[in-house]
Amino acid sequence: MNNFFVKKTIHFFLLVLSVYLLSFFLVRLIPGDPVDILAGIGNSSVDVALIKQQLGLEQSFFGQLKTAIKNLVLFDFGLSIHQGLSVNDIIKPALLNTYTLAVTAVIISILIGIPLGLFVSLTNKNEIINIVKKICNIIIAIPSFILAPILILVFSMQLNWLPVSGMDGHLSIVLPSLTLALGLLCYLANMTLDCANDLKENAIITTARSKGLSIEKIYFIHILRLISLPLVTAIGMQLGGLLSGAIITEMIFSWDGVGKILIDSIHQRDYPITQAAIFFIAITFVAINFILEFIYRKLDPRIR
Amino acid sequence: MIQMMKISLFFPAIFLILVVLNFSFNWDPYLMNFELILETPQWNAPFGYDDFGRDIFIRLINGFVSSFQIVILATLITFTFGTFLGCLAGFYGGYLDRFLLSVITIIQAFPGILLVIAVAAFLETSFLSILFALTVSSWIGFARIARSQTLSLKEADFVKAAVSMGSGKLRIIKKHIFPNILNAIFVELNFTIANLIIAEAGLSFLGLGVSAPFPSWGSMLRDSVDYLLVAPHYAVIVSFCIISMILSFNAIGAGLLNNENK
Repeated sequence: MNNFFVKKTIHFFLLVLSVYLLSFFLVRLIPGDPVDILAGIGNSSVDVALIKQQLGLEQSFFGQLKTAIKNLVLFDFGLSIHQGLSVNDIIKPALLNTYTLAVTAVIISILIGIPLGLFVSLTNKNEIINIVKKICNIIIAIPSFILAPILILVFSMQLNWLPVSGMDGHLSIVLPSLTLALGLLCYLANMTLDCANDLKENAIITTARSKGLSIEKIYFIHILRLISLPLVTAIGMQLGGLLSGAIITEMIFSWDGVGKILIDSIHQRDYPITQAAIFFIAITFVAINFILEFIYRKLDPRIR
Repeated sequence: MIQMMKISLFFPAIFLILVVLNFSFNWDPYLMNFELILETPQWNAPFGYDDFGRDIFIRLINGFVSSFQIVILATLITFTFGTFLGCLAGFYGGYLDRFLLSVITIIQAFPGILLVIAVAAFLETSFLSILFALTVSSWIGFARIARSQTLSLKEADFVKAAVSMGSGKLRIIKKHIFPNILNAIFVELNFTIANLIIAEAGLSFLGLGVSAPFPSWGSMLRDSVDYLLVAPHYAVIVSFCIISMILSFNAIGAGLLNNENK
């Protein structure tokens, strides 16, 4: 266990470093001189020097590399070009908003998806199971930028239950988090259904039945525990889609998260913010998978 | 499953026919009728008119052409590059394999279309830069499949026989390994196309893809969302087209996978 922990942690930090360097040096892809584009036409040499200093472009390649790593250690991502604020101050509240959205989405999909799968499997009717699986497969394939308009059309315009966009009131989180949750929800329901169906003929179930447990109890205690392992892996894998879906979802619902800040900064050519936003979204994904790996080991008695 | 696959081929086929019709009749996607702005579907225009009074049906066909040029080109490049690299890494092993694995791990750290957005963010929007952004993030699917398949094929008797007869490594990859992994690659091909459609539409939806007057499905969807209240038919039609195209390629991939596992 210890050896595994050390190895995984080193791996994790190496990955963080490479993701950071990649997102940092993407700025070099900018064709021509990025500073000229930033400063605009008729720029003064003072502006150019200032922007160059902000981006750290006046140094040599290795000098930039050194500053970049130093900034990562100090957790300092520089200043925003347009707003003049430190990038940390802008990103922090946005990250919190995004996490609220993502966590709500994950909770919704776990609380609905897994019971849905178990209940459908309990019906024992092949037609129902097939229909549910087909519908789930279709919803999984729908990207968030299509799901969101459909949900707005139904819940905000036809039924007039929920606000179209914005962040005021508790109800405004419902539509964006539902947009994010639906894919994961259907994925989890589908997977729960498949696993539960596979386990039906298992000796564990026969034993539990012969002890006199009701079928509902077997499903929600024994089977749920057995399928928690693949479900944790699935959640980890699907979180990537959820996080990248959050970028577009935040844009549509004008939710002030990292995704919205990322896209806004791209349109304003505010590179320090773009770099930091890309880095933080990727790091969230990496960190969650790093944590899930340990949860997985805790859950699986064969590894423990 | 096979039936699903045949039905799925139907939708892309219809669009291909429409594209041919479009080029033979020279339908104009930029023709604006200002008295017909956001009109609902009617006999002249089966899908209605958009916010500039342009025929949605014709713009959808033209959007299909521009989106699919990028998607098909990106698929071809990633297919060639990813498969080749995956085969090499799987067959040679050692440092090359480790290097490829770490590159894949780093690219996978960027969830979904984040890397596409990241690369597109720092490039000026043009056909080539979108192609580059899509290619960078999607070749790893092919590389992973090719690598794992090559690893298992390496132990097969016919490959060992070829090695003992003294064929060169590249020749073995070309003559013995590549034809045998092609099935698995074709399955991956369809899923990649579906993902690239999503990524390309997502990019143009965010305003980072094909630029303004030029039709593309993603930017049409973004425009339609602005008019959701007054002209819901616009958003519904565009979403329907994107969803059906994604589902079609997913179903073709699933059908091939099913066929292969049988």
